[in-house]
Amino acid sequence: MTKAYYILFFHVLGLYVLTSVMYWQLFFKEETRLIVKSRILLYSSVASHTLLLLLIALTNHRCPVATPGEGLLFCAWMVALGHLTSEFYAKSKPWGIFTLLPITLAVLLSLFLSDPHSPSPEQYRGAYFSFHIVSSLAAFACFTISAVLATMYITLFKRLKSKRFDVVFRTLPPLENIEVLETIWVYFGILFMIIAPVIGWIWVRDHGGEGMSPKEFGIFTALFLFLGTAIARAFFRFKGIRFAVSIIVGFGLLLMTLALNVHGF
Amino acid sequence: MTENAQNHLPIQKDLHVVVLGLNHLTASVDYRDKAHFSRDEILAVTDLILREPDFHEVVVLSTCNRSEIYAATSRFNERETLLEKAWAQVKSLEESELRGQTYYCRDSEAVSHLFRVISSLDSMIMGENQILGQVKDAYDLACKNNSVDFYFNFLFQNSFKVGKRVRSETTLNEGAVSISSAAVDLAQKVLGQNFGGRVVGIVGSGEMGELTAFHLNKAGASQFIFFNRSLNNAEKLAARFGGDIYTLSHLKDKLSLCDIVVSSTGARDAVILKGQVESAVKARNGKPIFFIDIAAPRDIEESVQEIPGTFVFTIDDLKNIVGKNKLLRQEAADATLQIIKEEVAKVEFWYANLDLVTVIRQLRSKFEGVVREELDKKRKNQPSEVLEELEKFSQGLVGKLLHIPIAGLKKMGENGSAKKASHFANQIFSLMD
Repeated sequence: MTKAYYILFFHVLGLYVLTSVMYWQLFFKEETRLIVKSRILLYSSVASHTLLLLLIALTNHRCPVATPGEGLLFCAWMVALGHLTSEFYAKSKPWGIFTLLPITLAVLLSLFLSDPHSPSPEQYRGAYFSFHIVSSLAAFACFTISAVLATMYITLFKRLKSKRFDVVFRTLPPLENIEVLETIWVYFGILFMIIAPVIGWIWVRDHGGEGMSPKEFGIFTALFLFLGTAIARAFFRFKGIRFAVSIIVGFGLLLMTLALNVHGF
Repeated sequence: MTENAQNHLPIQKDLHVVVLGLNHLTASVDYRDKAHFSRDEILAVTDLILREPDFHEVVVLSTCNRSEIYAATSRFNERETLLEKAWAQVKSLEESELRGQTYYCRDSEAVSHLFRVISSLDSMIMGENQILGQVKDAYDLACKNNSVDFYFNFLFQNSFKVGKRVRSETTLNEGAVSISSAAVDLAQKVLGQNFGGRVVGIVGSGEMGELTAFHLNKAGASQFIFFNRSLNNAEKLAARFGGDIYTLSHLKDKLSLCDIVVSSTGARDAVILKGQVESAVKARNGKPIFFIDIAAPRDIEESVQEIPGTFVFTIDDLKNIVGKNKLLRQEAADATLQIIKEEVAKVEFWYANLDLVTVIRQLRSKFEGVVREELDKKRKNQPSEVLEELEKFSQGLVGKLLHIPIAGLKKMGENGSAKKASHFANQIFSLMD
């Protein structure tokens, strides 16, 4: 399995690197003739990534989220799927470089945090744990995409205000489109982030756990921030640049919580 | 005439494509109007040209900025005066005057010219999109009129591919190159592509405002509010686009209804003030307002830009955008020329190999003729089953025997030696006998 795993892994990584290069040229050099090739590469990357996760799952007979590396790989896959869906439905010019870079980085990092042989402890093999982790990762993926979109919003907004009509200005999709997309992904993220702790609470209860860890506290804080932002947007016209900034702050909080957790906080 | 192996249509050997035309660079707008062909005149001039035995195919393209006659002829003259004669006759023009205002090219130059035209490299506004449809219409009319055949079918179908390739592989037709369309592009950058459901406020009844309203209307805006010093002038615009009319004093009340405001009055002082905009933004609960100030001096107070939830662009900003877009199109022209060069080479290659296709067909035909002759001699003495087997055997044998020479001829064609290959095949197999 190890040989197959590494071959497929580096195949996936190579594809993502190539795709990122293609999308970079598409966006910054406006090489519109690369649109078809870059989309094909994106689909190939996601397809190979799916195969890799399936390989881990089938070989280890478990959901491929047992190690930090696998979690990162799974999360990157969800972000890639999310981006693919956004690009397909939004029909906007390919702005994939902004999501592909974090995806490629995540896949690369997972190499150092993964062990394809790692046998996971018994309690991590349960269905509750798997669903909890998958929901959490899905939430994180949705917030990642919304944060990328929020960054794009702020970038375009600043260019409009400062009247800087460069290649970034030309190639970013309209503000309105970006805002619609970031809202959709925030809503999905909130949904998954509500599901995850509910399942997690059941899992912890079944295994005799209690209380809330600092990581969970941080995540709940981020959840309430996102929830508050979504409610403010829906009922109090909390839109535009303020909405985008809130998303970035919420995502930043999420990242900080996870980073502190990794360092044993 | 020789038979075409692919279409079984007769093709003319040694056909030349020629084009006679005039455009915005070679003729004044008045002369272009005089020389412009209506639909009936296109049919008349086509008919006149095709009466000549050496002219086989004709397509006439006639738009407000250019008129061109494309013809396929077996003549090889420096300049085809017949086309000038026909044009002058149908349009009652002086031939000498027409000659002075037109350009003429043939063969590869003519093919390259067609590809340049359809790419909009030759257009008054480089990168415009209308020309592709106009060439298609001209070709469709020629098809209905039966004035196109093998050569122009291939040429024009390829020209449509060139047009599509240029538009998908380059940025030649991207970005607005007029002030009013730049304003619409900017508005789309904020509010999205479709303005359906958006309210547009037009302040002033000037030409630029009307032009911008036209482009916004094309982009889906259908709800307009017109503000003007006098209601009379605004009525004309309201009649054209629909919408309500108010005097300028109603601006402070109605501004909050507008998503987009285009201002182009001739006023000396600002007509849209910061206080008015602040109230409007507050009333809109954070929904942005997009302002376009086309007036000089400015209609919108400069401090309005500082209000959150507003985007204000002046005529200088729009000129800046238009300038950058024109530069982009200029840069895309090089990539377009490269595409045209590649496609012209493909047409030249195809044309050079036409002869080879004919020769291969003749070669097969000759060998099959020999087989038929020999089988006919045996027909009386052999039962039909044996004859059937013999026929199958001989077909297979001919195919195997000819495989190597045909492959060799095709290879020579691919290497650019189609004419040489045709000549050798003719000599070795006596195909002309």
